[in-house]
Formats: sequence, C-alpha cells, structure tokens
Amino acid sequence: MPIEVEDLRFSYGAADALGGVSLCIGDGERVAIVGATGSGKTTLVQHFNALLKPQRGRVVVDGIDIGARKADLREVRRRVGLVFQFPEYQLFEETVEADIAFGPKNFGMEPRVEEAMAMVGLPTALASRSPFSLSGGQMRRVAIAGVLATRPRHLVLDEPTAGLDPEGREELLARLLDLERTTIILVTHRMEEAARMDRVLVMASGGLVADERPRTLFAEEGRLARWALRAPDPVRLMHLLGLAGSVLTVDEAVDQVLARV
Amino acid sequence: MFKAAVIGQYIAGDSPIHRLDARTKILILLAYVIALFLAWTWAGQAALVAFAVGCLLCARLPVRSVIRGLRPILWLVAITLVLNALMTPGPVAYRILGFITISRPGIDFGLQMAVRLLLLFMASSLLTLTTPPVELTDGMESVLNPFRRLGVPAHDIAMMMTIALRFIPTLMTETERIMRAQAARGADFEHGSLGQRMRAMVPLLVPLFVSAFRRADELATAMEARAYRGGEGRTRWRQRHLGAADAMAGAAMLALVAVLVVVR
Ligand SMILES: Nc1ncnc2c1ncn2[C@@H]1O[C@H](COP(=O)(O)OP(=O)(O)OP(=O)(O)O)[C@@H](O)[C@H]1O
Ligand SMILES: [Mg+2]
Repeated sequence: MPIEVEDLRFSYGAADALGGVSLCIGDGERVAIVGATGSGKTTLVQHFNALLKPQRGRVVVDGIDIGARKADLREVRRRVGLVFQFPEYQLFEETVEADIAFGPKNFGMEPRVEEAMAMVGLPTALASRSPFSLSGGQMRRVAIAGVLATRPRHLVLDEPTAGLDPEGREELLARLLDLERTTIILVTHRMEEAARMDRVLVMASGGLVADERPRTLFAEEGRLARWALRAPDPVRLMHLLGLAGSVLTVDEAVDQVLARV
Repeated sequence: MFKAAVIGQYIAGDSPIHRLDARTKILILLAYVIALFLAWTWAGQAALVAFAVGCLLCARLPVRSVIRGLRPILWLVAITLVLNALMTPGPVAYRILGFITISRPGIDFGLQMAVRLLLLFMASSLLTLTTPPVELTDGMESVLNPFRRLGVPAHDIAMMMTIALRFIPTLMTETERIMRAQAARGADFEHGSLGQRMRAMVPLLVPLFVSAFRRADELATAMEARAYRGGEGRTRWRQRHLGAADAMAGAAMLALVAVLVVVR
C-alpha cells in the first residue's frame, strides 16, 4: 500500500518548514528526494515514519492515518524504516550484533542479524566487535543494518552515503537498490544517485516543486539552477558539447559520443 | 519538548538591570544571598522581598516566563514548608488525625525557609536572565581573580562555565535527534513501568555521552591548535568599565543592608 501525503504543513515555530506538500509514493517505487539545504527534505521524511505529526494535512502510510488520535505508530514505524542522516551516532550496544538486534526486538520480531549484515556488506566476523571500535563507514553500515533488520516495507534513507568513499558509496547504494519488494525513498544531494531512481521529487523552500522521471528533470538546466541544483556531470557534458540527447549515465554519454564520431 | 527545560536562560533586553556590569550584579547577588540567610525577622524578609520585586520590575522581563521559570522549584518549596512544619518541636498549634502535630514555630520556620528558597532562586535567575552568558563568565572571572593567590583557578572556572553554557543547546538538539533515531527503531520512551522507562534511556544516554566526549575532544584539539594555554597574560576583546549605574546599584544594596540592620 502506498504512502500518501495530502497538503502537509509543518513549522518548527518560525517560518514554515513545509508549506503544503502533496504526493503519493506507491509500493516498491524507487524515489529520490533532492533540494537545497534547508528545503524541508528531512522534515518531510520524518513524517513518513510518524516521528513528526502533521500540523495540517494528512499523511497516510499503508492505510494508517498517522495524524489520527488512535493511530498505531509502532506499526507505522515497523513498516517504514528510517535511516537518519549520520546514523552512526545512534549506536549504543556493546556488540554490533546486539545493536542490529535492537530494532527487531523492539518490534517483537526475530532478529536476523547475519542476513542484515550481509545486505549492507559487513563481514560476519565483525558481529562480536564493539560498534565503537569500527571505522566511520563501517559504523554507518551497522546503523543501516539495524534498520534493515526490521525488514521494513518502505525504506527511507536520509543521505545514507554522505561522507563515504566513492567506491563504498557506489557499493552501498547498489546493495540498497537490490532490495526487492521494498519501497526506497532516498534523500540525497548527489544527482548521480538521484539519476538512478525511477522518480525524483524536488523540494524548494518547503514546497514540492517537481516530481518527474530523472531524464525529464535533468534535461532542462535553467530550472535546476533556480532550485540550486545541477544535472549530473554526463548530462552537463552532453549539453556543453551541444549534443542534445537524453542521457543520464557516463555509459550512455560515451555511447552517444561514439555514435557521432 | 526540551526547550522549556532551560531555566534562567538569558532574555535580551535594555533595562537598567540589563545594562549593569556583570561584576556588580554578581557581587550584589552574593551580598543578597548572605543577607537572605542572616535576616530572621518578618520585617527583614519583607524588605528582602521588596528589593527582589523592585529589581524584577526594573528588569522589565516578561512576567510569564519568569513565573514559568519558578515552577520547577515549587515542589522543593512545598516540601521544605511541610517538613519544617512537621519536624520542628514546640507548642502544638494544629493536630491532624490525632498523632500528626504541627507546631507554631514549625509553621514560622517553614514559611521563612520557603520564602528564602523562592527569593534565592528568583534572585539568581534574575542574574542569568539579564546577563549574556559571556559577560556572566567574564564577570565571574574578575570576581574570582583576587582569590587566585589562594590557588583558585579563576580563568579555568570561567572558561569551563562558558563552554558548558555554549554546549547546552547543542546537547539538547543532539538529545532530540538521538531520541528520534531510536524511536524510528521502535524504542519507546513514554510507556511502561518506571524500570522499563529507565532502561529505555540507555539507547539515548550512551550515544549522547559518546558524542559529548567526541565534541569535547574536538574542542580541546581546536583550542590547542589556536595556541590556547590558559588565562596567563590573556587580554580582553571587550573592556568593561563600572559606571554611575553600578554605583547606584551598590548604594541600593547598602541601603537594603542598612534597613535589615535596623529592623533586626
Ligand atoms: N529541530 C528544528 N528546530 C527548528 N527548526 C528546524 C529544525 N529542524 C529543521 N528546522 C528548519 O526547518 C527547515 C527545513 O529543515 P530540514 O532539516 O527539513 O531541511 P533539509 O532539506 O533536510 O536540509 P539538509 O539538506 O541540510 O539536510 C530549515 O529551515 C531548518 O532551519
Ligand atoms: Mg536533512
């Protein structure tokens, strides 16, 4: 069942952080949310898992209206896994294994720690180590595994690859996109990552200003600049070469250029 | 939800009290607190209350936030009152259920202690409400400076206070962030027995301490990188001078002391 947002408004006190956002994300969709710093991405996705309640409007997750008085928020949180920005700061257990098992235990599920570790590419040898003895990138993977271990139907990731090395970033994202039957909502500042999703939502000053396939979105550079965004490098290269065509990735760009030569 | 917990946080303003030098305010507060515990007559307490209320009015603070700030200690005041009334021996004034006795001196003493606590709290929050933290710690340092010969590390104390104050909001934001992150993993901080709720704090406190230590470590490195080596030979960016207002405030405090001596 989908995640539906209707005219959602939210403010932290001063100006509106979200000023009337409506959208619908279907089961199993791969969606990127992009937008300048402070445009409301984090605020929006925290509603998906009922950490914030709508001040106005509605958020319905798999048929559960999270604003309703008797809404089962636990159920919402079990269905929607949310990986925070810099999730490595939420680790607290003595071993990696215990930390990953924290979520499943809270939800009364059987913790399948090894499976979760495999999903993020962590060697099982690390299971008995203290999470605080790991590198930053490994800690990040442990934290993500801790959310994956609850087997959410919808997975929301707030900049999961920020601060990782290029190869690790690629590998982690590929693993996440491999998850089957899971909705993936990826908040990111990297347009190459957004380009790999089926759909890109653009946020600007608390509003949803575009909701398109990446190919369509990145084709028009003028609009992107207005939202403080930039098309991925291969797309910009093709524009600079004057080769108007719809490419997204380096491989596609190479094909197009070679076809011209 | 944590925002309300900050008691006595500076409220910007331009009242005569705001403009006083921090050193003046600290010394007056010190004198006031000493007077508070030396004055034993009702007339003396009335004078102390009048002085505090006068300062409060002068400071032109939003009354509501001052009252809200007093709320957390009301329990303490109530307990003090009750305990003193029950425990102080003397002629029995009231009898409840036959065996609980309340003595007249007990009531008197309890009330005096309650007033004292309220005044103590109000006076000290008046200082922090009207003085920016940086000025407060600078003032602290100058007031403690004469005691350096006795081995009081004036500069270090002031620096520690500055840093602690600086990090309160940061730690609060951090707490909220970690709480949300754990709630997303199904942690429940609001339901369950007392024991369960205490156990639920572990996933909050461990990351909080880890990040506090990390921050402290980073700060220490950053300070060392800028060649910080304590207060020796350090000069001030902002030089403060005592003025006529400070003299007047001091005179007011002396007048209060005079009144207290007279009504003794
Ligand atoms: N806890 C908070 N208290 C007050 N204001 C907040 C809080 N969190 C966010 N805001 C404000 O709400 C607005 C939206 O913030 P949000 O964190 O959703 O942005 P974002 O798009 O996730 O930005 P970034 O890309 O930097 O993560 C910003 O203007 C921010 O200053
Ligand atoms: Mg964000």
